[in-house]
Amino acid sequence: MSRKTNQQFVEGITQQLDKSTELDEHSLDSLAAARQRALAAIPQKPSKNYYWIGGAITTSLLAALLWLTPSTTERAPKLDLAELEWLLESDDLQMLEDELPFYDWVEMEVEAG
Amino acid sequence: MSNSDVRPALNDFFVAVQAKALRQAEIALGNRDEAMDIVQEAMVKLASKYASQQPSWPQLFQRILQNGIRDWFRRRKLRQWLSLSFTEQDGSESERLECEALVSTETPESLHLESQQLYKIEMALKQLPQRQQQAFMLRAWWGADTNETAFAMQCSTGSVKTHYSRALAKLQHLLEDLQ
Repeated sequence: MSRKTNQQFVEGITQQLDKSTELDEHSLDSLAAARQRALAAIPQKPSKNYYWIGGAITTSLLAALLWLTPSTTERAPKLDLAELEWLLESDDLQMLEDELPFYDWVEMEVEAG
Repeated sequence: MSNSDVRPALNDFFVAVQAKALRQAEIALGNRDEAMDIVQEAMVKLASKYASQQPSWPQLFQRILQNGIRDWFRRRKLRQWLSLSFTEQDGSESERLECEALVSTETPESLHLESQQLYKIEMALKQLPQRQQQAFMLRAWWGADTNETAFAMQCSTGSVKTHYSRALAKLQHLLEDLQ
């Protein structure tokens, strides 16, 4: 009988080893449990969507905080519409001129009295 | 690749390699329970550290597995050394550990299930020095090339070639009747 080549010899060994990989139920169960433990060990990385959601929540909170915080600067007095109209209307200069003699008379009366 | 995409792919990878990995560790260690522990450690380590490196899973898994097997031998050697140095035992413990690899799987049941040829092959593989056994299993059984084997064994490609050729020569001598 001729001697096998190295390759044939190695193939003979590996074929036998391949046959031995048919495992019993208990070993398969243990390996399944090992797989589950390994898969549970995968680091939990937040996905990109979570980054967006996190950014949006932070921005919203910041905006709400700014909106609700009372301003430390003194508010300008409110002007209502009537006051605004009064400020905007032009003065009647003729009327003021007509009233001047009246004020002169009042002043003279006060001094005399 | 997100976490949810990795899980099924990694599970499929583990399913593909688990039986071979377990048998390789079992042949190296001579004990299925301890082999199971080493395979599980390798799976957990790959998943926890390299889940994102899918293209390199086979090489990384091999490297982790071979490291696990080597660490087991180192621990055993240390135990042997400690028992010899400090407890002054009569050598029965070290003798037991030495023989453990050869006898633990030799149950009548396993002998019945496995062919006589496979039994002889396993015995021959167990007689190889650990590094030669690793080189042979990786190159011949896993089909790894010299570079991949060197990466897994953390040695040079020259060392891989030396270990492999010595392993082959010894196996041919031990398994002469199979030739």
